[in-house]
Amino acid sequence: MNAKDILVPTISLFVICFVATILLAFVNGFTAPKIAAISAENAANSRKIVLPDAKEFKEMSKDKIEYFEGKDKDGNTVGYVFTTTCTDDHKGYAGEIKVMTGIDKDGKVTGIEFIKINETPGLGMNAKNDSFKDQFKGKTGVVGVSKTGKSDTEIQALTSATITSQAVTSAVNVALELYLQIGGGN
Amino acid sequence: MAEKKSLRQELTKGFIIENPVLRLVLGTCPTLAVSTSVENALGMGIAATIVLICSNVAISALRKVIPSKVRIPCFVVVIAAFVSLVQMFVKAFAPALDESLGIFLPLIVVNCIILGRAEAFASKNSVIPSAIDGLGMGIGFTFALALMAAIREFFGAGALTIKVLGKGFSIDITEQLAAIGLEPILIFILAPGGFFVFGMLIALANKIAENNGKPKATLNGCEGCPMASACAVKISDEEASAQ
Amino acid sequence: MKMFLTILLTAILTDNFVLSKFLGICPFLGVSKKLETAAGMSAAVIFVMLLSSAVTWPINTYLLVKNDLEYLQTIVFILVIAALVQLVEIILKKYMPALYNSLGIYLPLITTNCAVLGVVVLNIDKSFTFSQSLVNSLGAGLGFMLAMVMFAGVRERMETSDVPKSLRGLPITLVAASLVAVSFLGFTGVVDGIFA
Repeated sequence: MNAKDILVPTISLFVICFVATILLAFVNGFTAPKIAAISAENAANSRKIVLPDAKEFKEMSKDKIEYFEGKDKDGNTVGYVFTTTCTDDHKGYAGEIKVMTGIDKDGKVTGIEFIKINETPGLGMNAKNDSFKDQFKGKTGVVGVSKTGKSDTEIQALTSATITSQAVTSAVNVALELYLQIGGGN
Repeated sequence: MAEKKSLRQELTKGFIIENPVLRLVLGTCPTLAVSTSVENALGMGIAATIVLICSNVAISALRKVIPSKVRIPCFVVVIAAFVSLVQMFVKAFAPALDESLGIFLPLIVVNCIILGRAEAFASKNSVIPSAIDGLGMGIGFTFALALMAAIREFFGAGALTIKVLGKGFSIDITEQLAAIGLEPILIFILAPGGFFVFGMLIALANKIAENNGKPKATLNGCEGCPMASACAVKISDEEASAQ
Repeated sequence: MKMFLTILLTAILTDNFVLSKFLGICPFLGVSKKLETAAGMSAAVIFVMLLSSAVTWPINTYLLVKNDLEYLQTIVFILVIAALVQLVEIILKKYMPALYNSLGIYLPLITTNCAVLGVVVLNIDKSFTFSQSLVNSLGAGLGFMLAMVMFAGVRERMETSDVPKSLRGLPITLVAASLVAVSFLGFTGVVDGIFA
């Protein structure tokens, strides 16, 4: 094979890749902001659901922890909103589960919403049902998972989806832990 | 078989006679995976058709310039670029579709229909026929996909929704079924149902083909696969037809 | 440890790549006629999946995500996979001809195959760490092998059956596949039951 045999194909492939990349970068330039706007809007809506008493939300950052502080119309703090993921060892069936948790100033969960969940339809995805999500309301400290029944400190796992239930709970516990770290309630 | 087809024939051949899914047996993966609801099927079909037309046109326009040695990688890059473009547009303007198609949107890159048509047609014909071929094959793909989805959705969920851009109709017979003590056949929506309905549709297509004197659909040995020239596995047509 | 086993068994049984996720159908239907070809193909797939995941994960994490270039994922992944497979094929042909003859010949078929690109995309989708990605790919490949080998057995049995005329060939193969898929449906609660 002489040099031309290798050079020409390589250069052609390279040129095509180059042109493709430029084209993609160009289109990305105007679609990326739109995509970001969509997820920002979804996040804002979810925040209102998990912390219903808050009328406005302020983005905060303390000790590298990012969260939102919710205030009522008089400017008093009603609670906080954290977006957390399930811990690495609880990656669930379908990978990462992202949960948005609202916690009031007494450290009690006011609600949870899913930002990202891709569990098995009909089983793990039932975590999106209100009957499961509402179990977290009022919980504080460290939440456990029980297969038999709920209690003050435990939620009941979904049928045949204990792994998913544990993953969601781990994410909520991370949020509760962050609440303590930012000194919430003090 | 290089009979000069009229443009009209190029367009319609992809619909029934050379339907990529039911006759050429290409693009089986997304067909099985995305045919759980007509809405998803239409979304996937339209996205794939757009990629197919664009890549056919681009590859046809570049066919004299792409060296034969690296043509498969070049085709793949072109197709991947268009798929990425479609991905970005879908994410920005139809996020719900992005969620329901999941990983099958980027997987359009390896949809054998697109690579297959690039290799078999676009690289050997001029731009306008290639575009028409892409359109025809895309319509055929969408049709087969939607047909399968309609069957699976109807039997599996007892309801059928056909909507385009929010306008259309839906039938729901779950209540009538419940009245006579029946439930929808859930397994049609699950994985096995996909294989089963696909098999039945191919059997039907084969029957129609036979009545018209055309050969049955097979996995065509290696000739139908776009990788035929690059691959070293040689399964002859006779071996494959004996399956 | 438990987490790795969960991922592994989920990929092999509950979320089997071929029978639940419909990835890799073409080789599944096309190459599963004989047991040896099925085994050779599956071995090649496992190898390519592991290698692709090992290479694409760092590229994605340290190059694409770091520089906000996620929109280039599709192109980069498919190019990396194609290049890797080409390289491996050349090396095998030259230095390990025996291995090349038993599994190397399937390598190009795997390049444009949804199974490998699928597992690579899924690793990113599920936000797996590097080791989790490798375990997932291994599981995906093993699940593919399990489905292929089982199906090869089914098809060898079918050769002596009396199939109705209109169903001969592809249709009855697909119906057989649907029955194998039904059996895998039975694994739905298994991972949860064992590990939770």
